[in-house]
Amino acid sequence: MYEMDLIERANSVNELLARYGVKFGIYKNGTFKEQLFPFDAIPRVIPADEFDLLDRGLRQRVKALNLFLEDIYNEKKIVRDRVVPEEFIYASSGYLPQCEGIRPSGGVFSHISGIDLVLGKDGSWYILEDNLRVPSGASYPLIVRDLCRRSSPRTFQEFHIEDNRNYAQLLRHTMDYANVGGLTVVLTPGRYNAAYFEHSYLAEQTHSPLVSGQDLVVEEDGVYLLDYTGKKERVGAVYRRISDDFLDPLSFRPESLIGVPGLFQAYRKGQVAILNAPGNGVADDKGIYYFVPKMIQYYLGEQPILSNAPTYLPFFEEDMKSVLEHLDTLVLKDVAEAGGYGVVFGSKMSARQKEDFVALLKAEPRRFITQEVIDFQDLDIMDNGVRVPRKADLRAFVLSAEEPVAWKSGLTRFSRNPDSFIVNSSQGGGFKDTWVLSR
Amino acid sequence: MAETLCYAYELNLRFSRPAHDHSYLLRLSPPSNEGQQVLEQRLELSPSHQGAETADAFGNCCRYGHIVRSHQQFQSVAAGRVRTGLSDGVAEPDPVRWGMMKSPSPYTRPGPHLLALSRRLADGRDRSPLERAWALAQGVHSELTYCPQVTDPRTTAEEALALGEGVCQDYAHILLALCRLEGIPARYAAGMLVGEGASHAWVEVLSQGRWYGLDPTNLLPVREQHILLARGRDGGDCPLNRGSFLGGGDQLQTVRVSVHPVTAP
Repeated sequence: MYEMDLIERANSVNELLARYGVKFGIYKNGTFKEQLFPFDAIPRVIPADEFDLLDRGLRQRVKALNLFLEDIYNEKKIVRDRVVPEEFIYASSGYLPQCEGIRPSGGVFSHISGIDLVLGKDGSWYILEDNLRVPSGASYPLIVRDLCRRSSPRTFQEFHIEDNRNYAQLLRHTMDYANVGGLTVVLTPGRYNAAYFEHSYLAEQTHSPLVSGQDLVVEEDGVYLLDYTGKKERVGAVYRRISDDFLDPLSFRPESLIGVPGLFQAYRKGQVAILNAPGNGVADDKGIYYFVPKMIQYYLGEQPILSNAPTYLPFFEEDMKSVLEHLDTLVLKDVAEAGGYGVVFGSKMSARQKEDFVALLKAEPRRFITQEVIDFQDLDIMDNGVRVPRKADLRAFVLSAEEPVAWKSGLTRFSRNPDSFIVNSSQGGGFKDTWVLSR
Repeated sequence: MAETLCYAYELNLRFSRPAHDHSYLLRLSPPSNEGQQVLEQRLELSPSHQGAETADAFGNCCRYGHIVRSHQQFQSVAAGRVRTGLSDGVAEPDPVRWGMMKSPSPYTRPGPHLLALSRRLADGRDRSPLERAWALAQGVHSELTYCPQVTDPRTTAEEALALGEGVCQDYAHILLALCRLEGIPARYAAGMLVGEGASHAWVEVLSQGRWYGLDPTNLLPVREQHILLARGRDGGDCPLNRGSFLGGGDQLQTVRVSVHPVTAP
């Protein structure tokens, strides 16, 4: 196999990842544990023509999602035209009424979008979910590519692989496009965050100061970075890696100690850009997902290039009926949960659990979406020297400045447990590099 | 009938040790609209601070700022004169804009107690939204006993109803939850009521193209005795004062509100 040389060197790559501190933090039973994010050397390979289709589909989807965000926080045309029922917007925990009336600089809401896909056994890609809040993961294929090139230069001479190391330039351009004048900073909640490695790495790669909440101060005319000498410098864009809730204790959760008091008011006034825009959670809500193909038709007048997984909304009577009839073949998702939590497979529920679930579903139909279980292609991984198939997905990254651009790589995550379909890193999975072939 | 009221809202925050880097956000400027007209208003801070002004997403006027120097006390005094009771309700030209007022919000999410009360009050759904809201307000009023210090600003409608006790904010949250369960657009209003004491809260419902204020705590229509300061989906969206500071040790906060009719000269 062509990647043999690389596979033989996988251990040394993993050792380097550990040495560079490429870790993932998870909370288990209330305590914080940092663990290595295991790398598997067999890459996911995407042929050039296949990526071309992905590229067009991803750009189309992100364009529509950005238009949706601008619309629902302003004119609400899609509600007036009854394409999306308003309760799906306003009951979403990601909807922030505080963002009503805001048009961010450059018209971009989702600067960095992480779109999760799977490849079906039928050879087509399906969108699993959109992540438009603070999608993480780009740093892993980025740093691992660098390490692989050093460990096995031959591999990268023999194969025509798109260089993915332009992520930093793409991100920098996205930041600069949003910036309203001043420094761009990366705002981290600190080293106990699951993705702290990524925060520091992306700050370094984009030559942006890595700051925490207390390094920033909001004055009447804008946001400033305070350095250790007390010198103040104007900030024009904040790439925040803090969730909306914790961004500003004056406008959101008052107990937040990691946010910046007043930041949201400065943003409202256009004195600073925030990447990604607050309030984006309404568009990556699992209930709104169902409507994304309709959004593409509504805003762009185009047919969706990439398909959703077949999805039912029990909210609609007709869908509820077929959900109750085919519970065994469906996966049930609680719209309020993320990171692989709140996902249940109908086939794995006991009779008692099913009964309870049906009662809950009838009481709160808006809370759940149900999807057909996609029979997706496994990818091989090396497990103690043996090649074994495992479930895997792909998080593609789309960066939006003047126009959305799909990064020619992505984070491929796999489940280490052979019986599990859930690949989220917070559930202990591993990752692979994603090669997009250049011809 | 229309009336001229003069008001004073005094917020006092005392620290046991000096506080610094104090950020504040105040919603203490009454808006002028069809129902009330502001004749005169001022907002003074101590330590003296200019700050900046902005309107939030609900159109509430906010004053915010960041006081670096250390201080043992933070005081803000809002005062002025407002002409009230100018109309019965306020016209709404674009109801779609307020779609969020039909959905549960963080403090009004229904639980078993609210759902049970909603079922018990289910008679008479064929009336206009305003008449229906009054019936619900009466239900809330008889369900709850007014009692300060049992609940706090973070008590949800469901929790307050379970306790059976609360203050104006709790009455308002419960009424909001009940209205929204029946699809009546309803929003939270914070402001002041004639008399001496604390700030007040009530509910506005959209009925036949107009927003009407209902005060479920006193079973009063909102007219010349109320001065509106801020609106939101619930109390969490439009707190009248928010602050964040370093240091400070223990803190003691007091709010004193007084509103009186201006007697004709």
